[in-house]
Amino acid sequence: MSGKEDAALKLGRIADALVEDLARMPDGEFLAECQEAGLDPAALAKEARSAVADAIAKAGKQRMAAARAGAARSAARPAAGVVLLPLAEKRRIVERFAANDTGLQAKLTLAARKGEGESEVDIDSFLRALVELGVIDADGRPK
Amino acid sequence: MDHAAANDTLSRDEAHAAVAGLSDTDLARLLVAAQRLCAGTAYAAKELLNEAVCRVLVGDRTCRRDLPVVATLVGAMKSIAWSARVAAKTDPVALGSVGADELPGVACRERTAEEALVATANHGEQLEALEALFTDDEEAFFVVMADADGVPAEQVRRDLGMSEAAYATVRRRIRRKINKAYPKGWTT
Repeated sequence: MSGKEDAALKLGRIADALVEDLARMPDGEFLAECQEAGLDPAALAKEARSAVADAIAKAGKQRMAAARAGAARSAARPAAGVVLLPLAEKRRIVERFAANDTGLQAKLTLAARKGEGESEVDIDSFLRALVELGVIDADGRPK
Repeated sequence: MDHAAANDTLSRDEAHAAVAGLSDTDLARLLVAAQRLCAGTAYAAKELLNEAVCRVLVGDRTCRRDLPVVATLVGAMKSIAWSARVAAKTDPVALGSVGADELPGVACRERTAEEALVATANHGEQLEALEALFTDDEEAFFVVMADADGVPAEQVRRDLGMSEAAYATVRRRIRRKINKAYPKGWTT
């Protein structure tokens, strides 16, 4: 027999061979061997079901965390090129868009009358939303 | 290898449904497999099964549509356990030179160096105890030793001059003896 440092690997290979038999045998044979060994398949199933349920919950949490991380990465990405345009150009894009949206046009007109014109921050936010919705591309051109 | 079949895999939702739909017999079989496969690792059987299921559900392991999900999960457990054994074997320096708080996740769990050394000694003892089970059954002893050395079944049958049926009988004897000695895994 080789040294103890190989014992874990040897045990692993023996286990693999045992499990190969186990995986291939028909249900009836497996249940008969359980009975012979004094094992309770129902108890084994209950224990396994608990492990599986925990795994389902854990996997769900991992997927949600991955989705949140993905969303955070998207939000952290540099702004679309449209927000880097001169303010005047950005206003023109908003106004072009508003030309097809009477509700928005009314709001912009009212705000301008009140001297409450859209701030650049508001305009950038609006433009980012249009990019994310796919209404305009990153350079502000209608899609 | 059937590449088309290998590439035809279950979606995540389908894999989830397959796992959720495992029968009691499937589940019992998986746990018994896990009990055997955690040999030589620091995993408990439930932990090994849990890890395999998780990896399938998050998409780290794919399920071939032409294979039962039980087979995929058994394969996943084999792979996880094997990686754990190799990780423990390939980092023996850590056992002696790293402090207890600094030992990385050797053999898949964080253990102290002392625990890792004890586990290594235990694996040796486990292997010796397993061999001792078959000292009065030469054929079974030969097959178990061949398994331990990774000798393919076909070669073992050729070396022993055994038919498939005779070989299956020996394997059944081996399982019976191991199941009797270790009904709940490798702890006595």
